[in-house]
Amino acid sequence: MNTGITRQNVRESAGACLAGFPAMVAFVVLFIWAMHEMGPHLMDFLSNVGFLRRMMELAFGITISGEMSSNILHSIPWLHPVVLVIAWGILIATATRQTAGDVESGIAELILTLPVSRIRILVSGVVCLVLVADGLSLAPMVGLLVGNLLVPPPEPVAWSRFGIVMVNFLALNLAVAALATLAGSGLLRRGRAVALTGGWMMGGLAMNFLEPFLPAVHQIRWIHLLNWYRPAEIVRSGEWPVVPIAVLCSVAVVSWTVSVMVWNRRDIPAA
Amino acid sequence: MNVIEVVGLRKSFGKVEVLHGIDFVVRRGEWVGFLGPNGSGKTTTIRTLLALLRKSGGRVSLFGHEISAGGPSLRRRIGYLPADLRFPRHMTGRQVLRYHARVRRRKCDEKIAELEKAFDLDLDKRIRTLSTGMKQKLGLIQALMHEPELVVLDEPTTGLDPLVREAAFTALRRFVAGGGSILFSSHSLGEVEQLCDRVVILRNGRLVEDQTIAALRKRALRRVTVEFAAPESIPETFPDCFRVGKREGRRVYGTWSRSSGEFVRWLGGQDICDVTIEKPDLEDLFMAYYSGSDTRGERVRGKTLSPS
Repeated sequence: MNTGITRQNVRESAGACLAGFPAMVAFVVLFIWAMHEMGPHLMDFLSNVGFLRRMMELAFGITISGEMSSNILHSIPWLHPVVLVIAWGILIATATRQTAGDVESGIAELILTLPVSRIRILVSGVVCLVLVADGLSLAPMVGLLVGNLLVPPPEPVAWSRFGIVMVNFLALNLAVAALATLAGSGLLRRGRAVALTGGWMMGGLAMNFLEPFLPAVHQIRWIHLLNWYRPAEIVRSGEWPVVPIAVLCSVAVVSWTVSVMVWNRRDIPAA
Repeated sequence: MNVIEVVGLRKSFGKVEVLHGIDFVVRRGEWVGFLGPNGSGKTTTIRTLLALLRKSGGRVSLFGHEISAGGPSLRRRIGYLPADLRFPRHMTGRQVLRYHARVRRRKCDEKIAELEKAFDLDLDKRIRTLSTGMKQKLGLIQALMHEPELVVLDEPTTGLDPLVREAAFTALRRFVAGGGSILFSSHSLGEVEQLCDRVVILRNGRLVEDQTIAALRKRALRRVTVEFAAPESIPETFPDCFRVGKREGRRVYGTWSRSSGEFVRWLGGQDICDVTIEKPDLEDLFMAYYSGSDTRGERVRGKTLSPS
């Protein structure tokens, strides 16, 4: 790792993080407030519309019934598309900027001729991504804390269980960042790397919503990262999702390892 | 000692080979001009030297070490100014230089201050507000600030006004006088002639010339004008080394491709009243390499140089 490059990468990512973090916190707070305000009516409504209920159950991995605990409801924003899209957007933008983005803009030309190996440059970028992923994974927890301070829940919040959810969310974010690094280190154009990684992640969200219509999707959903991220199940059971976290971390490690190999061998074309 | 040693360098992009086995060296304290028309392979060679591109064959050594083995420790001794220079637009010049110094793990404040003064550049302006010439100045400062042993400059004077260009040349002359070496890629043939000790010329991915400026000057054409005493004094045939351009009355304009002494000896046998011999101009010689019709990139000396 080169501290100079890591510091520069962190500085470059700071703007997006400073905008994204409060946005995620605000969304979770709003969600908790909305659940508090219309929770019972919403549950009645969802219970009466079968199709919508099934879709929500598959999307969020929860069983919707009139007696849902507030802790289960609090797990929904952790998997809400708004929260995920903000987190993934920042991670994908950061990871692809450090690789394909700098090559495409021509900035990499000078950096790669400085006395630092390509491996160190990429590792410095990965360190920055881990820091960004840490911050983003913390945002829903901060939102939960603030939300519960503003709107006290009917039952105590199971903080230790949400701590496990946060670790699972961090593993998911690291895997997304690693896939984006892999795309960025292998492709010449940043736009393509963003489209590929973003498309893949959005495909996962789409799979969640398509599952009620296409049973075949259920058979292949394990291929997607979202299959290994189930906040509601963690909150319900309180058990560590060892296998899902191991799968996500393995995806991150393998993707970053392959990225280093690709990045180290590739030609850097003129901008 | 050879600072750069390139032996049989080949580079292919897919099935297309763009460098067909290039050999040249740059010695310590030498300023080498790197010439060739667009697409001749100059930038590809430079990018391969700096390990931005992976070579397909041959050997490239810097300071006596193979580049693939030396890596970062070799790049510590090099300054580079790319042809298409890009910096992060939101940063100031000073931030960029400090960032590079931090990555190099080297304090360069004194040298930066010295170069800032020499190039008369406000380093506190954001990159997005800098003109092309100002960015080029910043590029030159970043290439020299860590006091390298070798500087690779890819078209460094683009966008520089004459005063700044002179300041840049002064800084580079001082650098060479201190034992530094320069590989200087440029399309400005006059600059190369004025500054470099030696030129390496590429064409279509092949080396077509590697010669000192002094040796090239000896081989270069001299423009001559001979005014004979009367139209009848003009000989019917001229020596092979005198290529006649045009005739105007008693005057004959042409080029002489051997030494001035031989020209004077030949004139001794003629009935002339005036003669003009111009200093050999390398620009004509370089232009032959640029515009030569030999598309295989083989040596094109015969077009303008003496048979010897």
